[in-house]
Amino acid sequence: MRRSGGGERRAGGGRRPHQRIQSLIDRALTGDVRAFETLVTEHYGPVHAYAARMVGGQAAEDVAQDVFLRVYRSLHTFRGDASFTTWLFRITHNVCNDYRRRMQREPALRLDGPAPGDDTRSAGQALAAAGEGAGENPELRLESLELHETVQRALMKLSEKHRAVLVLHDMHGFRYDEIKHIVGCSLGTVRSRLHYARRALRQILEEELRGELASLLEERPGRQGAAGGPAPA
Amino acid sequence: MRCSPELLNAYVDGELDEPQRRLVEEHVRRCPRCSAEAAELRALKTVPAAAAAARAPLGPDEEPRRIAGIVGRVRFREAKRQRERTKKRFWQGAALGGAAAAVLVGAVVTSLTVFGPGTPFGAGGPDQDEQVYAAALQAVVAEHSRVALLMDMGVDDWADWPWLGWEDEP
Repeated sequence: MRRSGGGERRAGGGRRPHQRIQSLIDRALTGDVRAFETLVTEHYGPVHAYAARMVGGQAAEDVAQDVFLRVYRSLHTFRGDASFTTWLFRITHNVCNDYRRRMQREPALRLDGPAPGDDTRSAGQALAAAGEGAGENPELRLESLELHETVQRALMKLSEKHRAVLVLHDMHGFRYDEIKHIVGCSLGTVRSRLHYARRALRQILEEELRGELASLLEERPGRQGAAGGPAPA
Repeated sequence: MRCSPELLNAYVDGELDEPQRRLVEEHVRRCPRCSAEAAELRALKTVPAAAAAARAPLGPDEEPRRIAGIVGRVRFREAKRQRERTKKRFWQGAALGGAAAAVLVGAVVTSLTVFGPGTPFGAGGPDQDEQVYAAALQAVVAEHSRVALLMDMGVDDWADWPWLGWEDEP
């Protein structure tokens, strides 16, 4: 099965055997905190990244913590009908929704400032924190960080429903049927939301990049081989 | 088929089943607008993916610190749960022990009520009690004599005799 774009779905990048995760869950259920720690370590990055994209970077730490505490309390309800990652992201999605609702009720709790991920830092600060890309060309790295900031700003302008499906599909690499479980809607709705989300993103990026979007898209790998066939895996 | 942006998205994402995919592919081949749209969608969807790949990582100590915070809270909860479990077991044990003691005391009180002084057994006074004891003793002796007599007579399977009034072993 093809995987679109996003490389943040699994922290280690590779496919983990289902049995291994199940064994960690079983051990965690008997009170083995080390097994739970392994689960957290392997999934913290993607969960935090999703939270940062949905509620902003400053709240992402709290949301990620809440997610894993909720996961710990609910581990016994994991039946394995969906993959652990899908189940985990469903919880993450719900915690993000709860957080947003709480913020609407109690705006005084809202954290100040724009919050595009831990990406609130400027590209320069982020680059410094990343150790200047360890051997990468710093200019290229800075350019991609700027792209990330631009996309992050654009994402924050999308409606929450559109942002969720776009982030889950294009950034985390989930399939439509997995997104359906995470977001809790029909397959047709996922399809429709993704279409509107991309259309809105395109419009926002055009405004953000002031006419540079066309040239940016020209450079993208998907542009080659225009006709026929779905996106390359 | 007519132009369908939603189907086109699903087609670009490789999310259509085979018959639908063929249908859309055929349409894209013939429709210049959808063909251009598909190409643009392919390029557009790589932008968030590239941005995700460029995401500024957390500082070297930040992620382990946050994970340690979560795990620390879980450890605390787990320890609390263990303490509560131990406390619950203690009270369960105490309740069980109490129930057993209550049954024992009940049994003693019941036996004293039934067989103690002033009870039906002892209601007739010591003389009557003595008569009851004597009658019981006589009955036991009579039974013993009857069995002894039968054994003297050489009856082996006396235990099966129905008139003896004994039931077989269950």
